[in-house]
Amino acid sequence: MSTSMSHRNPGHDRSDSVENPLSKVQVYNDICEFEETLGKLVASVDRFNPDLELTRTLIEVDKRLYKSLECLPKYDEIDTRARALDEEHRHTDEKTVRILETLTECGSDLNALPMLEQVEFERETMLKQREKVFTDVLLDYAMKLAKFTHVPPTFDKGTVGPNNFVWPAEDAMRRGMLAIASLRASEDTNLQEKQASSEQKSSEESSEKSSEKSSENNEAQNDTRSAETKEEPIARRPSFGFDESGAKDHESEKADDDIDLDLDLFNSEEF
Amino acid sequence: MASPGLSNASLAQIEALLVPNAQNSSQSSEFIPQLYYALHQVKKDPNSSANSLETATSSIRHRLKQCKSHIAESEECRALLSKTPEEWESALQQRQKDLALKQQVFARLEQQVRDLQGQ
Repeated sequence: MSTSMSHRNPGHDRSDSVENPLSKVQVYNDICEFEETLGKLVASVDRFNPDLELTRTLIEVDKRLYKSLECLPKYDEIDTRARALDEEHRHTDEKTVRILETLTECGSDLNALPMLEQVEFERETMLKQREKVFTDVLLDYAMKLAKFTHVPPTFDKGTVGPNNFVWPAEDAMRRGMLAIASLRASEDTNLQEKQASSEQKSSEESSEKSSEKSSENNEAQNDTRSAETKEEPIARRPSFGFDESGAKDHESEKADDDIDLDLDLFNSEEF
Repeated sequence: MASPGLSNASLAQIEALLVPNAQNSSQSSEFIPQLYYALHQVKKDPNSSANSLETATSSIRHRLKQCKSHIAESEECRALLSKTPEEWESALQQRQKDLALKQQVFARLEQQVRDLQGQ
């Protein structure tokens, strides 16, 4: 004969395991207990050794089971209320999401709008800029006017001519090394002329002091030297100094300038 | 024991299996009277193989197994029956308070929006 304590709570024995999620379900535990007690009772009866204690236990378990089953309408009511609350919570959460989305959109719209201080600052800046006249505007206007106007009559073109430039003239730059070489050649010839003239003066002074006998020879020698000095310029290249030939060249250059107007050596309209 | 009808399908299934004379119950007998009758038959003719208590209680054990498997398979039923009605009552009150708090927040927000519109 088994004791009543040994099979009083078989469901609770199972419920001791943490992994079993059914341990908290009272109806399930009562069913398990009833099933186990019934099995033991059937086994005892089939062995012709019925245990009356098992019948009493079975009756108690049956009472507990039906007492738990009586709570089913309560559970049904609780389930209905819980579903209604869940539905309300769901609606409320959806409403919250919609409100938050709307507030976010409104916030972004407000952030997109300019602030009052910024608007006033920009307005002041624009007004200050309107008071100024930019060089671009002036130049555009001048270019528009330049198409229909001429150089003022009081403007002296010579003041902006190539002669006043610090850089060499266009024709000099075009001539390049030839022009430099010719300039050097002219400088050399000028130096030789100066030396020759100084020597001649010194020789004349010495000859006046010397005897008259040697004057004829000296004169002959001077004639030969003068002949040599006269012959040297003939062999020289034409210089670019401001002599007559230079003046002639200058005149020819002026003529060339008049001819080379299309070369855009200097465009006074650009200034 | 008969109830007017349960809206929860799982609870209705349990009721139909275990509670006699329920609306959807195909079982019309309680366990103890059925066992008493089976024991009476065994006592009256103990040598008859047809009057075995094992055979007589097989329908009861079948109903119990069906109910157990139903509870074990239905997660919704397990969640509902895992708390006592008192525990459920406190939990529902807490949910009601949470809902009331959310509605208060809505009411405050609505009042603030109206104040801004008034300005």
